[in-house]
Amino acid sequence: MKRFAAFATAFVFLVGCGGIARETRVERGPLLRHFSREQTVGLAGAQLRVEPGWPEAKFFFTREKQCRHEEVDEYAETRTTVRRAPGGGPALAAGVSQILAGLGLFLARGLFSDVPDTTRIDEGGRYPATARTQATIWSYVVMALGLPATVVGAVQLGQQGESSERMTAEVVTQARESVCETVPFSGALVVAAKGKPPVELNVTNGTIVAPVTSWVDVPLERWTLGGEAVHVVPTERAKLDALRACMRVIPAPAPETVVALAEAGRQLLAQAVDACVAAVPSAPVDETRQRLSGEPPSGSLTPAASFAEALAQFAPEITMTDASRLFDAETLRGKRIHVRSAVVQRHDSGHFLTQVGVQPVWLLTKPSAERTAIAPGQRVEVLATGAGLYASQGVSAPLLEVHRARLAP
Amino acid sequence: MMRAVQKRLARLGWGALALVSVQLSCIGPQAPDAVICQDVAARLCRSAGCTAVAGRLPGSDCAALLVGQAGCGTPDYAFTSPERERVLSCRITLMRSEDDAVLQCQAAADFLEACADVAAVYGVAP
Repeated sequence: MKRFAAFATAFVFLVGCGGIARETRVERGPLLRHFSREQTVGLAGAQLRVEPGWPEAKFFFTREKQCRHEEVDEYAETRTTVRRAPGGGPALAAGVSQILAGLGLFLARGLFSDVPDTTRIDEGGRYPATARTQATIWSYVVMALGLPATVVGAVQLGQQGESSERMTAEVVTQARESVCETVPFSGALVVAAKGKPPVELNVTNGTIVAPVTSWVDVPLERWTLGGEAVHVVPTERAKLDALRACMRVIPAPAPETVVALAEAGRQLLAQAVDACVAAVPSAPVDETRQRLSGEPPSGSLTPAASFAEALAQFAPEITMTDASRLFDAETLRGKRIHVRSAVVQRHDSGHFLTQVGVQPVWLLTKPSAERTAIAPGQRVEVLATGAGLYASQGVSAPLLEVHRARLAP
Repeated sequence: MMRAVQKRLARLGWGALALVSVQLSCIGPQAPDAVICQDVAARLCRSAGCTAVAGRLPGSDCAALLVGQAGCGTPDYAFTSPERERVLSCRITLMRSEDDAVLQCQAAADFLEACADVAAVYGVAP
């Protein structure tokens, strides 16, 4: 019963308050005071700053805090809420009218006959209701219908009124935002290139000196430091892009690759050289420039030189023989290399898969009489430059760009 | 939103109240057993001339004879065996198709067959 009463009360107030229109009016009073305040907000993520260099560059990571200085006026304010129930009056009037009509019918029920129509008996053996019974029941109905409207109207009219609330309001008249604090951001820098295992570098004291290799070329959106995103301002992005340009022109592309480039491609390569040098003046791009201009590279061999003369002229930095240790592609990149290897496969593109001890090595050769003579099963001796990693026929191995080759004596 | 809910609730309330009041206002006082008994005799005798019940109902002054046989001519008559509910359920058979003579004859025949105990009160052979 208590539950029913609670439900009925809640229902009446819910329905009764439904038709109430609220209007809030705010009146600003006099200026109470003027003050300044500072707010500091830590910005999410790490900011990247780049100090270009070759073959290594410095990367600085910082966490920034933004300071917001506000000038604030504080005013007194009066908030007035007016509640109107436009339907309350009509609902109450209609409800009261219905109740009065029902009451009138109830009081007048004695005027109706209480004798049933005895000529009609229904299937249950009863006469039809008498006129008095009908009048009484309908009086209840009319009163019952008027009751909700009366209650709703009364509740709505009771809710009408006006209330005021005094409070203070702040108006920010001036605001300045600036980066006010920068602290080194250390942690694990994870660079996750698509389809490759992520590269993880340890950033200490917000700084890392790292070789400019393929991870630098990964879009910044895929860099995270300590699990947070890495951001960069446009000027620093330009330096990063310059490093990426250096990666495209160092080591120099193969001469036949440069020759095969269309004019637009050559221009792009030249622009990359310029961008690289602008950021890293000491970057070794001379060979690329010479190849773009069509001049023979300084490290190339003259056709007339014998292999022994060419070897002396080439001055190899690394010699790879069957007894050598294993080398990875990045170690060999850009290095002058003297190789003795066994030919395993030959491809029409000029690529030879060879074996130096247990290490597979790809050789990229230029069209020449020497190349024509090389066949699988033979041993060759070549002077070459490391050109990164190359994968073909399911074999991923360092690629060497051959300048001079001969069958091994 | 709230006004729409209010209107819908009001409509539902009106409908429910109207339905209940119509139902209540159709129910009057119970008719006495004597009146029920006389009504059954009158309804049965409307088919006295039908071939389906030929010879089983009195040909003339049928209702008065049946009422006399049943002894329900006095206002204080009360059903004992069969009881009032049994008589009322048999009476429903006679209330079928009051305007159709053929169906009325069939109803009277059905009454005599299915309500032999009630017919026996009126002295009508099954």
